[in-house]
Amino acid sequence: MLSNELTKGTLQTIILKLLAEEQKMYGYEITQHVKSISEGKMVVTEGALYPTLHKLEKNGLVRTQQVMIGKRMRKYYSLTAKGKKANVNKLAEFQEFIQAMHLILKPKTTTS
Amino acid sequence: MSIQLNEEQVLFIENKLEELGLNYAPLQNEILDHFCCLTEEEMDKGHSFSQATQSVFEIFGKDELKKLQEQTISLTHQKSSRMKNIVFAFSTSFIILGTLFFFPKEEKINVNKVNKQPCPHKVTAQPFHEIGVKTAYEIFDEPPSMRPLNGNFKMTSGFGQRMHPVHKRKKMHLGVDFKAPIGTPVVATSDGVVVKVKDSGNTGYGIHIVIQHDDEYKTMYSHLSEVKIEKGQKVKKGEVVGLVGNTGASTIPHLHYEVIKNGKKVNPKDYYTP
Repeated sequence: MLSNELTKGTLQTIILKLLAEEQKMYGYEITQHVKSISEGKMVVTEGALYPTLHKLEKNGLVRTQQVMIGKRMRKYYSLTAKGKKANVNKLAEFQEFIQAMHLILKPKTTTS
Repeated sequence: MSIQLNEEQVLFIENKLEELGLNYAPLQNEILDHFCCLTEEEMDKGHSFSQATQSVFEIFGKDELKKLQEQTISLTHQKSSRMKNIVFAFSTSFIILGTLFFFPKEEKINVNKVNKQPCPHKVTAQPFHEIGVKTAYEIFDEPPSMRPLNGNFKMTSGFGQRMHPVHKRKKMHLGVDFKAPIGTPVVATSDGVVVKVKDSGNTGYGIHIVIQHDDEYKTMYSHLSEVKIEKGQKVKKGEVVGLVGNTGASTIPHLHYEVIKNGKKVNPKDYYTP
């Protein structure tokens, strides 16, 4: 399993990407989705997820809708126009980051 | 077979979370839903309700919950407190400008994709209704701003230390009391969503209602004789939500009214003109 710290830094990117694909998700659904598509390698904790979701909402990147499910309320998140733009930017930025990491982690080739 | 918790089980989890210190309104509903989902997942594996809740709360306790709430508040309030200073400094004209500027436009939401991947249970048979597309932060600045009773009913007990009429000892009184006859209409003091309707019997608040107004404010109306709304319902400022009563720890018909700001009870008198 990947460390919490690595997950935390990328959580906004992950949430935006999932919402762009799924259109509408609630907290628990996000945790399950991440677990399943990362084949259990990545676990998003409640402690990291909800503060991040609220921050995204506050910054206008996501909007919410509350729906009564049985005896309780469920809060769905979806992207705003601003969130859709941010998703594209963040993904591009992250791809660059991955490339940079590749370069850094590549074993040094010594020429003799 | 997917299990869905019944009302009693949901209430058990709600109380457990309250016990653990969950009191920040914008998180309450979704954390409750999250823990209900976790419990259902455990029960789907064949565990009983009590085994399921035990293992769920073993992993997530008081400290984690406290951290979660603190983190959420700090991440969402950094900007707003700065905003408030500006608002104070530049008075009303700035408020109007600020409101126009900071309120994001509402966009249509795709309502068709509800429950694509429901947490383990199926919800198709359950009636669900939308209670609103407006987000807590979109209604940003709507603190309670009127008296909870129409008409000039006397405030019989203010906010602060007092001798408790039932328990006969000095206690903090974290709201205000209005003496009024049974059946007097009680109104919502700002727009919001009903997040709690509960009857604590002969103790405590008796029949009481909690309304969530925005990301900061909740109000509570207690000792009611009757409730006129349902949990989950949207209410308008001034809408009748219940009737004055004498339920719970109460000696005479009255309304006990509380204003809760970021989980802390504050003096309601600061939120209406006397």
